[in-house]
Amino acid sequence: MIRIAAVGDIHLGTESRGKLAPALADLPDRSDLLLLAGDLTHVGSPEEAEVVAGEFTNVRVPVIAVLGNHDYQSDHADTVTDILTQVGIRVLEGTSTTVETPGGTVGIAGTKGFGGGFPPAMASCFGEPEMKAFVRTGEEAARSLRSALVELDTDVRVALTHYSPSRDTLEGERPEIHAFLGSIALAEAVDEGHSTVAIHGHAHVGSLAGSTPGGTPVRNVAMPLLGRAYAVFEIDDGHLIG
Amino acid sequence: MMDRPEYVEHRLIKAFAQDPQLGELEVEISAAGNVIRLTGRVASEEHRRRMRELAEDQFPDHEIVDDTEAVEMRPPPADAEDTG
Repeated sequence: MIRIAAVGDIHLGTESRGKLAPALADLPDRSDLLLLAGDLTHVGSPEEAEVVAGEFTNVRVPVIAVLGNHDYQSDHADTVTDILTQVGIRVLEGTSTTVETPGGTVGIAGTKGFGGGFPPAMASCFGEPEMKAFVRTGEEAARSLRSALVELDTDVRVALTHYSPSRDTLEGERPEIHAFLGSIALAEAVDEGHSTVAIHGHAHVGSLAGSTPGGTPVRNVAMPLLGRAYAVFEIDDGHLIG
Repeated sequence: MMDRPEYVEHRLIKAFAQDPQLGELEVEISAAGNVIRLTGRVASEEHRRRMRELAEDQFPDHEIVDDTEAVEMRPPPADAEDTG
């Protein structure tokens, strides 16, 4: 059995210091690793990143993260990444990492991802350069996720993103903004990469569970939706339980 | 896996938008089983033909049901529009 804790959209600010760490105290008893699905800060400032780093310094399980759109807001995403990396958090962007657990090896491939939408309401790479850039950004993120997934030779493959690879888990969000919350390109990457499960955030009023068109389970771990510090998922014999 | 309806629709949405002869964004594409249905109003009969070609090339095992119609170029009215 492999136990994976996950949460996204914790949105810590400089006023948040010390508020999350107590809820993580018993994490090693409950999980083999912790995944952070982006939007770790409010505005992506180095000061906020220091707060995030402080909250996860002593969790005593491997912590793997992707950034979210909020973490890019101050144009210091690289600095945010450096600050988190200095306390041992593995920050993925089109890359992967492996964690050894008593239940087997877990490979995590991660990217922030991007929007683009789902058929029939999706953006096309057509027209103005800005529109093409929007779509290409999403496609490139998906390509990097797929490449990172297929390189993994582990018992379990987890796709970790901020944006959603499933329309299912956007249910509850206004349909008008679905194209800004996830993309079919991410879904294809998750399926082509033979993921065991995909975990994302970003959709605060979406739904907890869904799947890709190929049937890969998808879980939305946005904290405002979870209503608690993190969720724990169990994987047995290569399959998500529940 | 990649013949799932959503992925079929995704590929054709991209193909119709990005084909140098088309640039069609208005077509509705729905895939179910091995049937792909195209609906909506497109620029011309040539566009309809090209869309069918692209769909058949990419999904030769699918039946293409083309319910699109070409926009007609009718002559303008003799008088000003009556807007009520």
